[in-house]
Formats: sequence, structure tokens, C-alpha cells
Amino acid sequence: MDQNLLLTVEKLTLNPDIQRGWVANKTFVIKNVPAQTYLTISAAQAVVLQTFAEPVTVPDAFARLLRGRDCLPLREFYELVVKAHQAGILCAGTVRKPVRKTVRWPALRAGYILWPAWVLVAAVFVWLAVRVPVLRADLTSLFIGAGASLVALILGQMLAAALLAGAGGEVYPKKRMATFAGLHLRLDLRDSCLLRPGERALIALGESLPLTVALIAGLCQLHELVLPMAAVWLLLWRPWGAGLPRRLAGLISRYPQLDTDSRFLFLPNQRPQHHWRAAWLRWDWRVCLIELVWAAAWTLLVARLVFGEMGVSFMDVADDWDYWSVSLQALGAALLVTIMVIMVRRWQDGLRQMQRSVRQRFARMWRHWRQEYVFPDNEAALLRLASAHPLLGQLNPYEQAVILRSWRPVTFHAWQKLTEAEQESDHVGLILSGRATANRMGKNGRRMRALLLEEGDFFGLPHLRPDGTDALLEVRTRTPLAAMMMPAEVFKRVIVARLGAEGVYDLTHKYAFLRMLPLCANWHTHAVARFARLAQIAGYGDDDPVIQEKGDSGWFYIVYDGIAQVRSCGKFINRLKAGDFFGEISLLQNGSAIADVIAQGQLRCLQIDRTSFLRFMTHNHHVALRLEKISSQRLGYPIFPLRPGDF
Amino acid sequence: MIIALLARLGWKTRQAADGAEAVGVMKAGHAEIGLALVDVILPDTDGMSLARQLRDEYPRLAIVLLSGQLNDESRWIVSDEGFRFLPKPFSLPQLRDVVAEMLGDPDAPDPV
Repeated sequence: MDQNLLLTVEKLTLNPDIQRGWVANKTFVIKNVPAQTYLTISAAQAVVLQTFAEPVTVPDAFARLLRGRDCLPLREFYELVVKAHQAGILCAGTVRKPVRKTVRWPALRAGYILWPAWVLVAAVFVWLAVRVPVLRADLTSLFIGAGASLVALILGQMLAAALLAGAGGEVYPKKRMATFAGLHLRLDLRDSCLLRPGERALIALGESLPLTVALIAGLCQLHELVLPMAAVWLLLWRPWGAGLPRRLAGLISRYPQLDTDSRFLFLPNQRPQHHWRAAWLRWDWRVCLIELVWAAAWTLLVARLVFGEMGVSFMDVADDWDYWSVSLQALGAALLVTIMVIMVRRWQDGLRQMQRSVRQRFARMWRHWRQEYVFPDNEAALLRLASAHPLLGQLNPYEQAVILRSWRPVTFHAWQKLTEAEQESDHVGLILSGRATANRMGKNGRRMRALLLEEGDFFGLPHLRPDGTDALLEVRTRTPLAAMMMPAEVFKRVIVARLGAEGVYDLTHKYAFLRMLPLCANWHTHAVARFARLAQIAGYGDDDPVIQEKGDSGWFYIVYDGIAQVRSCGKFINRLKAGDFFGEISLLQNGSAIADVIAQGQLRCLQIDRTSFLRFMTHNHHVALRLEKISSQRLGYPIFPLRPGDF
Repeated sequence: MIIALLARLGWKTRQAADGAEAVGVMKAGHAEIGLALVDVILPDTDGMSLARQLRDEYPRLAIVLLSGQLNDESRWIVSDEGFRFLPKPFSLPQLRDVVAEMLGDPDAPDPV
């Protein structure tokens, strides 16, 4: 399913066939019972999923959450929706994940083996550390030892499955055979995530118990079988990846790992900083300490076994500075390479996105300056070009054909003046490649940049507002520029007459103004065009209040022209100039304004009412994410989730 | 409904109930098919994925996405990919205009 469609159009419903697991630290697992998929969520995320109790689109659910002041941080919200949909917990229409069969397995209630299992593990560890066993073995012994390990692992799986069944969980066949010991890994015990931490620990220990017992037997009597069994045991108890110590330590975490914190599916989350942030927020020093201690102990044990096998005393090596001066460097280099590989693998999507955007930016700049633009030479290509344009696309094909016939391709040099200020041009140009600036004359007679024009923008436009507030601007190219020129008379007769001066003004002046704002930098052209259509222009006189602190503000504002002052409790906070925006915090919080905004001199603002703003924002997740980020920066703390004092 | 409208406009049509069938229809008759009208919501996949697949396999095929769900706020999704979009419900003249834009003059001889 296309992610944009999923987050915008698709009506999603909460799957009725779900089961909730044991609650620990306000976190629990929900299971899609027929499909056997799992999702670890928090209580706040469960409230979000409840919004989908009846079929609803994501924007509608988002709007409801905003109204109810239950909204999660938006990255988490979108990640949750995407992951819940993938797990079949949120379904589109009647589409459900396919049903998987369960394995009938005898149940075993044996809570009493928990502590003996721990004692055996400790005994094996101490034995290996204190009485370093002889690990030499011939080929036959190696095979027999590997076979015995495999049998022990299978028994461990069977025991764990029985314990899982005894605790009320279900056992499933594994989807695919894993590389090592395929037989051993054929049972899927993921249902244990629904159980209490104690039961989960028991099942995890049960998996390794037969191997631990076999290893003790080997250490006592069957010395030649110890090498493969010890290797497998150490792998099972490895301090990285999905090793048993990490699984067991995770059970005592105060911040259990949620599914929305890792392996991101929502594309904007696939950036490096979000991985770090999630890891930092969920960091628990107790788990970290246990993992570090175990990693150190495990590493020393392995080193001791290896050195013992090589006939070298561990302490001799530990005292040898020459050895460490070489090996530490090698270890550091290996660590660095490992970290780099992990980072690249984790962030490859984000890095690819970043690389693509940088490449596109440079390619565009290169294209502008190399004057590589080739004008479309046939009517079909011109029609496609017109249809894709936000303004021309609103004309019907016959009107578009009239416009196309009047077009004349023209190329301009860099730094060339295209139109004069306050002088009506007899031609209107549509920029196809290159950049230009539109300047207005300030009160002191100096030129001030009003707009930055790019591909898709018009220049040389006639007056479009009856009040004459749209000054005719001086336009000057910044790069070599390719444009389609048409007579101003055709522009007025076909476009202005058909779409109205107000509509044309929206999609030319306002559109160009919005496109150059950092707020709209990553919006799609049609999103900017829609925003331009929704925004109304409102004028304020000197000292007029635009927003009053603690008052109800039902609008989102962007300063179009002029300056505004932000004051809180009568104290000056900030000055807002053209392009700055305000009012979004009270709309997102569904609360009152947090500061006064007062016009300083003549002020014109683009403003959008609450309903239109929320409708627009909820349908454009990149807009919502950007607004959330800026609002959080302005507040000094994350805007979502709302705090009890936010009104 | 769309089939009937297109027939009234004089076009020959082929239809598919889902994405997989659409790929099959295209494979069998791609030489004769000039325009694909794809609904955004399909039973087995979504219109965007299907449209992308068709565009990759048949670069010269004109594709128009149809939807009753996409509105002015969410239109950027299809425009972003460069697809033509026709919101539902649409009238006969609107359909005629879009088809004419994508395939040329509807009165041309032997339309396909």
C-alpha cells in the first residue's frame, strides 16, 4: 500500500480479532489473533488506535485527536498507524491478514525450574571461568558434540513451547527455516510477548536449559564434546543481537521498547537523528548496566578460554603493554568499522533520501547555469506542461490550447531586467527554467526583494486586485532563464476571465510568496497552491492587535507584508517580518493564544481559519511535521503530547 | 459506468477488476491500449502502486488516476508522481476532456 495514500485516503478500522497482552509499565503487546502479528504499544498509543474503532481516514482520526487533546508526537502517530496497518491491527475495509495455523503442543506448568535454571547457568559460567576445560577435539568428537548441541537446542525449543502453552500462549510453526539448526528454529514462540515478565523469563531460560545441562555433563564426564557445546552455549548467551541476556534484561526495563521506536517504516522517520532520539528516550540505566557487565564478563570468559587453549596465561597477556598497544588499535578500528556498517545499514534509506535531495539541488543549479533547458516542441508536451501547472491545470483543454498557441519561447541572460516597477508589461512570462527576483521599491527608494521566482512562476502580471495592493514589481533574472511569453491581453482574456482575478492572484503572487518561505520549502507544488487558495489577506493598522494573549485564536497567520510584535504579559518577545508565521500553537493545542501579536505600522497577513487549516494540515503529513517541529522549538519543549497545563 | 461513457464517446475499452488482472490485460493488449484509467482504491493493491508499475513497464502509456476519496487537500499525492487525476464523481464532458487531453482528438479515425 502506498504510504501517502494510506495516511490520507484509506479508511482504516481497528481489527476486532485482537488480543491484549500483560500490561507492564503502561506498555503492552496487542496481537492480531488470526494473522499472529504483534505490536508493542503504550497506553497513549492504545487511545490513538481506539480512534479507529469505526472506519475513519487517518486525517479524520488526527483531527479528532487534536480536538480531544490526545495527540501523540506526530512521528510516533504516523509510525504507529503504518506499523498497525502492516500488522493487520488496522485494516482497510474488509482486507484482513491471512490466518496462520497453530501447532498443538502439550502444556507444562513448571515455574519451579526458574531458579534451578539460573543456578545452572551461573554454575556453567563459573566452571568455564575457573576450571578452563581442554577444548581440543578430533573431527568425530566435533560432529558428535555439534549433534548433541543440536539435540539440546531442539529439546530446549520443545520445553519452551510446552512452558508457553502452559502459560496460556500459542505455538506456531516458524515461517521459514533459519540457517543454523533449522529444525531447532522451527517453532515460533513469539506469543510469549503477551505473558508476564516472569513467565517470559522462564520460557527464555527453558530454551537454554537442556543445553546447559548437557554442557555440565560434558564438563563432568565427556570432555571431548565440550568444545562445540560451549561454543553454542556462548552463542546462545551472547551479549549482542537477540542473545538471551539482552532478552532477559529487557524484561526489567522501565521503558520497554515500543514498536514505534525502531525499524521505522514511516519514511520521514528514516533519518539518523530519529534513531538516536528514540534510543535516548528509552534508555534505562539498569538494563544498560546489566548488559555492560554481562558483555564484559562474556568477553573476558571467551578471552580466557582462547588464551587457555593457546597455552598463554591470561594475566601475562593482560600485563603485556606491547600486546595491548597493537590489539587495542586493531580493536578500535574493528569497532569503528562495525559501527559504520551498522549505521549505514540502519540509515541507508535516510542517507539515500539526503543524497537524492542534494543531488537534485545541484543538478537544478547546474541545469540553470548551463542553459540546458530544451523547450517542448510538440503540442502534447506543452499540454502536459500546462496540465501539471497549478494555475493552467484548472483550464479546460480548449482554453489551454488557446494559451499554448500564444506561447513564444524566449531565453534571457542572467542579471537581465525583465519588467520595470509600476509599469504594466505587454507580455506575461511563465518561467520554465531558471530563477528571478521580483523587487519592490521601498520608502527610502531602495529595492527590496519581494519574491523569488522559480519554475512555474509568472512574471509581468497585470494588476489583479481591485484595491491596487498588488504592486507591479521589477523582475530581474538571477540565472539564465527560459520562459514562455504570451501577450498580456491573452492572459487577461483567457486566464483572468475564466478563473477570476482573485483566483489568479492566489496562484501567482501568493503562491510565489509561499513557495519561497522555509515553512513551505518541502511542500509539493499542489499543496502550496491549495494553501494559497485557502489563505485570505487581512490588513491591520498600526498598534492593532492581531492575536490577544489568552484569547481564542481561530486562525493561522503568515506575515505577508509589514512587521508585527510579539508580546507576552506586556513584555516584548520578538519581531515578526514578512514570511514569519504565528497562531499555530493554539490551533495545534486546541487552546488559547500564548502571546499578544500587535501590528507595528501597516501589516498585511495571510490567514487561514481553524477548520481549513486543520483539514489542510491533517492531509499533508510533511506540513504537520514541520509545524510540530517549529511549535516545539518556540515553546521550548515538545508540543505533543499536551501537558496538563497547556491551555 | 465509465465503460458505458467511453463507449458513448466512441472508444474501445478493456476492463480489469483488480491490479493483477489489469497487469494481465496490459500484457495481453499493450500494443492497442493508449490510456489506463486506474482507481486509487483497488481490492488487491492500490492505484498508485499499479500506476507506477504500468508506467515502468509501458512508459508511453497515458495514465489517469480516478478517486472519490482524494480531495483538494490530498491531490498532491498523485500530482507528486506526475499522474493525471480525475476526481469522482465526474461528468461526461470532464471524462471526454481528460481522454482527449491524453489521447488526442476523440474524432480521429479508428480510436482505440
